[in-house]
Amino acid sequence: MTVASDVKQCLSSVKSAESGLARLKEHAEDEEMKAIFTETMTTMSEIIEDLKKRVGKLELEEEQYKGF
Amino acid sequence: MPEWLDVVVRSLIFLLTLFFITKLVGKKQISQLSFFEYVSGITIGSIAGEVTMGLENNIYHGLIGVLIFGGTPFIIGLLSLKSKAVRDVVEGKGTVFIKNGKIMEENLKKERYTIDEMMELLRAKDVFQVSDVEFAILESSGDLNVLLKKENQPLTAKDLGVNVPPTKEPQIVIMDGEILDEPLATIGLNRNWLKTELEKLGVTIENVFFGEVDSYGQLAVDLFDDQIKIPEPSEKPLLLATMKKCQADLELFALSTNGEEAKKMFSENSKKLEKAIDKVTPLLRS
Repeated sequence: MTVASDVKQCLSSVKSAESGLARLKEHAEDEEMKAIFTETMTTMSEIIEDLKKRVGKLELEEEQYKGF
Repeated sequence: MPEWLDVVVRSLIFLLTLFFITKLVGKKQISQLSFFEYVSGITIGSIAGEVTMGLENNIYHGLIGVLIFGGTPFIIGLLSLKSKAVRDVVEGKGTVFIKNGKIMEENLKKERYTIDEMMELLRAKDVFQVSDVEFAILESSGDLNVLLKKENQPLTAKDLGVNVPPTKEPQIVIMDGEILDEPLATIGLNRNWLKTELEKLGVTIENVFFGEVDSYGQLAVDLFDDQIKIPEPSEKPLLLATMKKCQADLELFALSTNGEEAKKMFSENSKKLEKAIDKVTPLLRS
């Protein structure tokens, strides 16, 4: 396993968590609950952005593992 | 008319009359909250019994009596809605038995309650020690209501300062294998959604005895066949676990990477995620 693949794995986990939150948000009835889910989703997408940038850099460094 | 037929007719007439009178006076009559409802409840019953079985009594007289005893509490009820003075007279006021943790002996005497009877009422409320009680009041219905001292009250989430997610009432969406459309519509879901959820659980609608949807939109079912095991809803704990794993990963990356910039980015994101996890944990745990 390389660093790049570890980070990619983490990135996809964060993405899956975000979509899970989105699903729960859709089904939540309470406004307060919805707000908390939305806030968490924003944090998750910020993390996703950062991780994507990092993956880009790592791919430059480890040319041979490029993909996805 | 033979006597037995007379009894049948009278019974049916009074049954119907009592039914409608109770409907008219409402739930208050059944719970007998005030003196008036208590008295009229007893009297209506005995008049009906008397006239049904005592065939020499005139049935119309019985009906008049029942109507008066049913109608008066109804009218008094309307009046007491409007006026506090009427209310105090008719429904009576509660008597304070314990105040600031001290027993009010005069009030006990006024209501002709002995200390034993008061203790019995306290025990009915699961209170075995007078010293646990801050305030207790004998309601006009004869119930004793008790306010415990703060340290003896059950612990609540508010006392602990714990955040708990708001909950809405669950909706029953399947009964006896039939889909109930109205509660489904109330929570903004439809039959298609229900079918997919049931497919996910791997059961058919005919096999479901009871199904309800909680405020997170999770379906829980009970099957006719209790031998079949259905998976518990695992979506939320799984989501929480995923988030925790991501946070741990980010922390690990922050430790193992050499680049300053990357280190900073990872540790910042890990902290952000930690905060987010703290926020959603109460929502995902239940």
